Amino acid sequence: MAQTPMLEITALEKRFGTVEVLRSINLKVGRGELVFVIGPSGSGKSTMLRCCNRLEEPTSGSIFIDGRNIVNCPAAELNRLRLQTGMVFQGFHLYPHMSVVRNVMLAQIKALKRNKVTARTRAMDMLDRVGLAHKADAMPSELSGGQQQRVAIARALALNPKVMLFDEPTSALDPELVGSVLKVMKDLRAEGMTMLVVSHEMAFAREAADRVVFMDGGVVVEQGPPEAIFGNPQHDRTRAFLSRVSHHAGAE
Amino acid sequence: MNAPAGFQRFVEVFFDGAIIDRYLPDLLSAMVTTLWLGAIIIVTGVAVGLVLACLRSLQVWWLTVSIVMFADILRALPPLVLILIFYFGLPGLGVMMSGPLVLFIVLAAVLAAFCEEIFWAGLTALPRGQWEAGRATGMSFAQTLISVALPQAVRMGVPSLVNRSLAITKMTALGSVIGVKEVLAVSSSAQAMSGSATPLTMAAAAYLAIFLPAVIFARWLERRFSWKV
Repeated sequence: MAQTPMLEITALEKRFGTVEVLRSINLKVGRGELVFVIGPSGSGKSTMLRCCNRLEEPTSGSIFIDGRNIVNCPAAELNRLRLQTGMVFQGFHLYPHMSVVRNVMLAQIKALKRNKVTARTRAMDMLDRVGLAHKADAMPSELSGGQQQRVAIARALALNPKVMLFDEPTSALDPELVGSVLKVMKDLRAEGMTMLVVSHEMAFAREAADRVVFMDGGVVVEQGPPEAIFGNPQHDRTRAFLSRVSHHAGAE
Repeated sequence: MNAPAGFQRFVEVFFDGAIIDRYLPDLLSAMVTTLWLGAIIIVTGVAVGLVLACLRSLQVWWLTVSIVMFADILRALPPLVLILIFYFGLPGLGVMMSGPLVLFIVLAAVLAAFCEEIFWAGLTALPRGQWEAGRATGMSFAQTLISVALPQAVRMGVPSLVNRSLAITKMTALGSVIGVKEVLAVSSSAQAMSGSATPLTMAAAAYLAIFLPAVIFARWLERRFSWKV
């Protein structure tokens, strides 16, 4: 690849006390690429994702976003660097005391110093993009889980991030609500957004991901195009995980 | 004693018209004293409590230790003890303070101690994801505290804050032991002078006039600030 990758993780290590959660992780996400991270729970995939905006502090290693190392940057600069990564959480984490549109406006005003009119216009655009402009004045508690997650995506997008990080975005949703969130993610990909997604939505990974990364025990076991990982996995651990997951899916 | 005579006696003791006329002006000015003392105690106590809870959220050990000690000591001591120490003890060190000033300092400090605990309980009850959402969108610790965490902590604390503020404001009656001319002091000296219980009835009526509307306002406030998450 001629261009530098949008996100590059090199030799990332993370320890909680004496427990090694991540070991020598190397991962690149190219511009406009959608990379899916799968693996059993406790494999460190969420921790890796959370290192990418330093919600977790890496123990060592480097994380480059658009060529800039975000590890070891001073706290004052950290707030600015975090604007480059949009984070979507499993639990949505909308602010319950604010209307939907104010949720999307808040960080624009506080962190980007946009004025209220600009922030509101941008918020409405983003809400429209996730199909929720008509809910702008609702309170988060009045929305379904799927709608809340789409507002959370709009809140992250409003800050013009270079990379979107999704931490199990559909795991807390009822099955019939998952589709609307995945559709938004697919639209984002079509628009060229760079995305790193930790998720158990295997069918979606197969369909929409450019690359799938399998993690287990704090290391990247293998990675490749979805057809290779799902169709012809090279490692026993990958095969074991995929057969567990498909049995589980078959049983439902 | 027949019933009408008994009733008349009751009215004479507790609702003597002449006594009411004589002491009403004094009592009205005492009500004003109680009201403004209560108001500045609530405003100062709640504000200081809020600032202390914010400082505690910085998690700097010596700040935390000082704030916890302040909160625990002031919540443990009966306010009357502090009032007496400040009013009768401190002049021995050359620190002279007027009765109203002592009452204000002690009660505002006690209210601040309780409010700090109430706000802090709200802050710690907040899901960690709220903080993470704020920080992940590039907001600083202070911005997240002020825009995300505190508004929710305050709402969670409103019922306790209201109860505690009312309880502390009623303690302005303790000013009667250090010569503050608030409602209880004025009415009990009137009672001593006149030998009639009527000034005490007037005091009760005065407190009701102040606090019944406050209680009703508090109910409204609690409803206004409760919301579904």
